[in-house]
Amino acid sequence: MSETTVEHHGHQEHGHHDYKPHWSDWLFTTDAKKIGFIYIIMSFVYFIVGGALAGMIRIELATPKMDFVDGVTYNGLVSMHGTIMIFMWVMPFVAGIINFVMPLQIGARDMAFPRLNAMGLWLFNAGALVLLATFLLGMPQAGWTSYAPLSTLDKKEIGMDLWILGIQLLGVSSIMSGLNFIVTVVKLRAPGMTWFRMPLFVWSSLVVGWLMILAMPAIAVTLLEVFLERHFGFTFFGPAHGGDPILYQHLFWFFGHPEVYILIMPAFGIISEIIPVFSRKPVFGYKLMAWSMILIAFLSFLLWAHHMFSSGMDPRLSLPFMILTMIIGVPTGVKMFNWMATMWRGKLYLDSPMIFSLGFLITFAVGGFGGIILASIPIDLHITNTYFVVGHMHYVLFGGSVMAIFAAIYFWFPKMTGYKLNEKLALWHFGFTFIGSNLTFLPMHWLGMLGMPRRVADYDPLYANDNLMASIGGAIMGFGTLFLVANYFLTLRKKERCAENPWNSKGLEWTHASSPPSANNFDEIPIVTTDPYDYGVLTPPKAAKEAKAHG
Amino acid sequence: MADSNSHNSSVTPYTHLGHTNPWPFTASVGLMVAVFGLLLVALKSPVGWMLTIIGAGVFLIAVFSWVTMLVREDIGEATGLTNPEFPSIGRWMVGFLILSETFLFGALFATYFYLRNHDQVYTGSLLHFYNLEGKVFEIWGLFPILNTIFLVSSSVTVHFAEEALRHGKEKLFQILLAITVVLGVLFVGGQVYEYYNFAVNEHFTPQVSTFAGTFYTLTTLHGSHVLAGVIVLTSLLVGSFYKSLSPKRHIALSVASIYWHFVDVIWILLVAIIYLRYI
Repeated sequence: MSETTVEHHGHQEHGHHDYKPHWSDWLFTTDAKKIGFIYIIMSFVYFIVGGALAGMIRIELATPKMDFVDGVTYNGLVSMHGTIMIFMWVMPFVAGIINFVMPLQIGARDMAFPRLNAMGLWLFNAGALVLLATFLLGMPQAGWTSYAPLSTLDKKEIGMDLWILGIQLLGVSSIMSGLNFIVTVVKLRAPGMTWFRMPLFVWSSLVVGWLMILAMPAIAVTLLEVFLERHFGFTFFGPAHGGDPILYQHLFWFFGHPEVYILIMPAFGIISEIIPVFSRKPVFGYKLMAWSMILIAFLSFLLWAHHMFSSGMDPRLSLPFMILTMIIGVPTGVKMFNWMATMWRGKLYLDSPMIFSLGFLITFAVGGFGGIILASIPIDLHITNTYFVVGHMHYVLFGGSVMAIFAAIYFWFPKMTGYKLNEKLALWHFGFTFIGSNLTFLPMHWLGMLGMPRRVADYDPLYANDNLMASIGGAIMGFGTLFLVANYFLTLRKKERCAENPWNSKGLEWTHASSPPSANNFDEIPIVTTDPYDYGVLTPPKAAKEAKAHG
Repeated sequence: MADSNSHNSSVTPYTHLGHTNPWPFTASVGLMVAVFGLLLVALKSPVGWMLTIIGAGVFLIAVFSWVTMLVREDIGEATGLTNPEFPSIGRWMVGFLILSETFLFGALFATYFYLRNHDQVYTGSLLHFYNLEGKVFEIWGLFPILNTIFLVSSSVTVHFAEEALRHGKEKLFQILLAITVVLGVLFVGGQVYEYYNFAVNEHFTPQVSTFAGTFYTLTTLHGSHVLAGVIVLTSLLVGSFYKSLSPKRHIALSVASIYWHFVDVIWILLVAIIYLRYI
């Protein structure tokens, strides 16, 4: 390990002094690492914007009366918060981290189609600009799901049109990224990198690519139909002329449910990368981990109608969708148990990425249980469209995806910049985020049980205390995020270069590329001879003795 | 995890082609402006068309420059790949693209089946095959038959064009490719004429029923795919005069040909499902 460090050090220092990027280098870049970096920076900016919207929502909900914003603004805030967090924060962040890490992990120089990749990046930014324009021209009112009668009736509302066009651009961008991920993983692996020697993050990139190319076309068609109905008098969803609003929900959720797995699947990959490194043990049940991701992705296309139990669709459809939804809990549970089994009797190092991963395991488990509860028809009929759903969804997407994203930031930051983020500030960040998020989203579960509907600004005083608690939690969470921002700027100002492989990881991106990697990733393409997580395979004598003593 | 080995012959040397390219960025900006323009058109703003045309122009120039650059440089080294199997990357790409497009058309066919079923349940009649005057209106006729002939035969000619290229018969290849392009243009022309006939002469506009809306959306989406194929094949034909294709470098044509066959298959499904209602 130390040899590698020395060997790369000179090269990287040289590269560091040599490299003076021109502004056009960033605008016109086709280098997956730069593209990934722009994705990550932009998505983080949008995360702050989406967080500010969430803060405004929580201020409004802190008291039962409508006293902070009016109803139209509140609808706009809710719609844009969901849209930004899903399409402009988690998805582009995922695209960015995959762009940066995945080619390095499979020993490739770049993505398979670097120019298409650049096109995807700038189409994403174009779509994001269109969506942000709604803040000036009027925010959409129909929520991030934009259910049909809401989105088709008010034809003068320009926010809705901007939303449709923005999402179309983002969708095209995602399809381009998805194609690139798949072909890169399939064709550009280094010699010796067989399918079952791929790191699990690479598996998750492959699966996300599949989900993107198969789910995104459905939303493209759905929004095309909404646009035609709004402006050109076509009928698809309007019941007055023979359309059916339930069709919208079918089409939307055929996209929407795989979309949820686009958001969570990379988190699975990230956690599977981090836990073995900080447990110094191979990941438990590697093949099962890969297969369970494939199974989850496959099943995610078959359970869209569990969002629609109360929509008025044919009730005979409900039961199969409920059963399939419960079945998807099995591979997900397999992953949870495998992560825990990876840590079992490992040598745990509680560095910041590992702390966030542990936080992920706890909050994601709560979110998953909420999902199983919501899947059963009799319960769902009572608590659908209540705050229970909001709580569940935020546990999965914030406690799951975003927690894993934070873990990824702390884990790969040294790889991207050559500097390590401050551990103490990271712990503060984790503390505030973990306590704040649970304080915010846990009360939502019993608020929903008590019957508080979602998407309301004005509610019964009965729910006041729990809502105040959630708002305080939101403030704590928002404050915690400042630690990450401060950490970022402080670390970049200090310019204290860390070790080439600060976590002692065995991934190709750490062992064979400098930090930050050179433009061509590797001086020589590595030849892969071993499995991805061979930690502690050569058991040191002391540990062997202990293991014997334990039986 | 791995060892570097400089003497391994399976790794081809990396050719540096630079890590920047202005066209993806420019094309994206053009597309965004065009989209804004279209939005303004929908909102009946006077500058809408102007913005659309400017944006589309920028987009087309950028894509054209992108493609000609691809043609000029050696495609095998274009991405600086370490894998010598470059041609198969193109085939994988178009394969997955077709899969994605299948879901695109699938969602629209699903719309059609859903609304048809909805009609049967709620109105008792089959479909709203009516025009504005409420007369039953038959969409099958001369033009769909001609269009089917054009598209199916163009699939045959593009296949033999590829065969001719592989065997080095360059003149034959160019003639067959030109025929394919002409047939594609005839198809699009036939479609436009059909729309004109339906909307103006028969008063069968997209607004009259859910069926009409689905029909126009599906056929226009398919027609735009044909148009995209025509543009790709035309640029290959133009490029072939500058020796961009050869018996050893025919990957661009085989990718385009796979895509063309796919568009043909979708048309046959369209005829069977929408025009003839076999399914």
